Amino acid sequence: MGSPKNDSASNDAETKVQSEPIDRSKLMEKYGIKEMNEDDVDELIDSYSGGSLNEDDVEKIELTLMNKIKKSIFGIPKIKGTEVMVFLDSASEISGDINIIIEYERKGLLSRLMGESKDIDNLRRQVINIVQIEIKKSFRKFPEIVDKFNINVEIN
Amino acid sequence: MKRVIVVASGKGGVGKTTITANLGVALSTFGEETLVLDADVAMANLELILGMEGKSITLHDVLSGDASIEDAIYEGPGGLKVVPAGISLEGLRKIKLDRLEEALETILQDTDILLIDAPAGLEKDALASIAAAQEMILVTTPEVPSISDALKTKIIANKLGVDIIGVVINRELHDKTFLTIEEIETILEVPVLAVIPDDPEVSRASAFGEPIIVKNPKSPTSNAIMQLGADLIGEKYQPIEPDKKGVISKLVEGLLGRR
Repeated sequence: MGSPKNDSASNDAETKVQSEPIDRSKLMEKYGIKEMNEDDVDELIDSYSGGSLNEDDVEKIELTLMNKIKKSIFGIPKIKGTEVMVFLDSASEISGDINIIIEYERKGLLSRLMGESKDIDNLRRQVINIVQIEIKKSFRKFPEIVDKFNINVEIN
Repeated sequence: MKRVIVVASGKGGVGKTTITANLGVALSTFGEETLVLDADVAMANLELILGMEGKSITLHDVLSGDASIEDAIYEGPGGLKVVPAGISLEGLRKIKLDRLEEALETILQDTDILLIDAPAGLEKDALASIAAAQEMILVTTPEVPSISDALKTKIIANKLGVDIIGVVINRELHDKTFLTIEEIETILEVPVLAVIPDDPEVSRASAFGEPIIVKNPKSPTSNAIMQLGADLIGEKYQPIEPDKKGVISKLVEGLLGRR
C-alpha cells in the first residue's frame, strides 16, 4: 500500500526519482496552504467534546456557579441567609446537584395564618428559576444542560 | 481483526461518498463482511449512489430505542451492508452515546470492516464520525482548497488518535494547474493510496443508482477502487482490461450478429 495505482501514478513515481526532494514549507507557501495551529486544533476538538474537564476545572466551575447563585438569591427580598452547594459530575457529560438552604425572614402571626406555605412555595419556585437562569448563563452555548441538574431547595 | 475506517475529506464535493460506496462494494467483493455507515447527514447521498434510498429504519431509530440495529442494516450491491444514519451523529452523541457505542459493537460482531462516510467539514458531526473510527482514508482532489481542507482533517484526526492510512486522489486530470501526486504526498505527509481519474462514467452510474464498479467494472475508476480495496486487505487484484475494440468494429460485429 502507499503507492499510486495507475499510469499517472507510475509516471509521477519516475519523476520523483529524478527530481530533487520537495521542501514542504516552500510548497505550502507556494500554494498558500497553512498549518492549523495547536490552539485552533484544541478549540475545534473541545467544541466537539464539549471540552475536557479536569478536577481543578470542575472545582472552579462549582465555586463560580455557587457564588453566582448565592448572589442572585440574595436579590430576593426577605432572604436573611443562604448556603449553596454545587456538586458537578463530569464523567461523561456535565451534570450535577445543587443544594440550597435558605433562611427566610418570617412574617407576623397574621400573615402566617393567611398562608405562609403559599409564599414558601412561591419562593422555592423563584429560587429554582434563578438557579436555572444562572446555569444557562454559565453554560451559554449549551442551555439544554439545565435539565441535567437536580436542584433542591430547603427553606427555613 | 475488525476495522473501523472513516472516509473523510474536509472539503465537500470531492467524491468522498462515491469512493466510500464503491470501496464498500469492492471490499465486499473480496469476501470481507463490509458495512457502510452513512454519517453524512447534510449530503446523505450514499443510499442514492447505491440505489437504496428511502429506507424507513435508520441508525437514529436504533439509538432512540425504537428499533434494533439489525433492522437498520440493509443489503446493498455485492453483498455490502448499509446503515443509513438518519440524523446527526452529534445530536445522538449527546443523548444516546451509550446506545451508539452498543450499536457499533453489535455491528462489528458480524462485520470485518466498518466504513464510515463522514460529513464534509469539521463540524461536530464530522468530528464525531472521525472520533468513532480507528483508521482514516482521506479523499481529496488535486486542487489547493481541497488539499488545504484535507490537511486540517488529517491534523484533527491525528489529535483524536486516528491512524491515517493514506490519501485517495480523486478526479485526477493530468493538468499542470493542479498539484502533482508528489506534492500532495509532501503536503499531507501521508502516502497516496490510489489515484482515481476524472471519469464522467461515475456520474452516469450514480444517476442509475448503481456503483461504478458494478455498472462498469472495466473502467479505470473501477480498477483503481478495486485495487485500493485489495491493498487495504492485502489481497492481489488483477485489473480488468477495457475492451479495446473500436466503435466501428463493434458496429460491424453487431450488424453481422457476432455479439
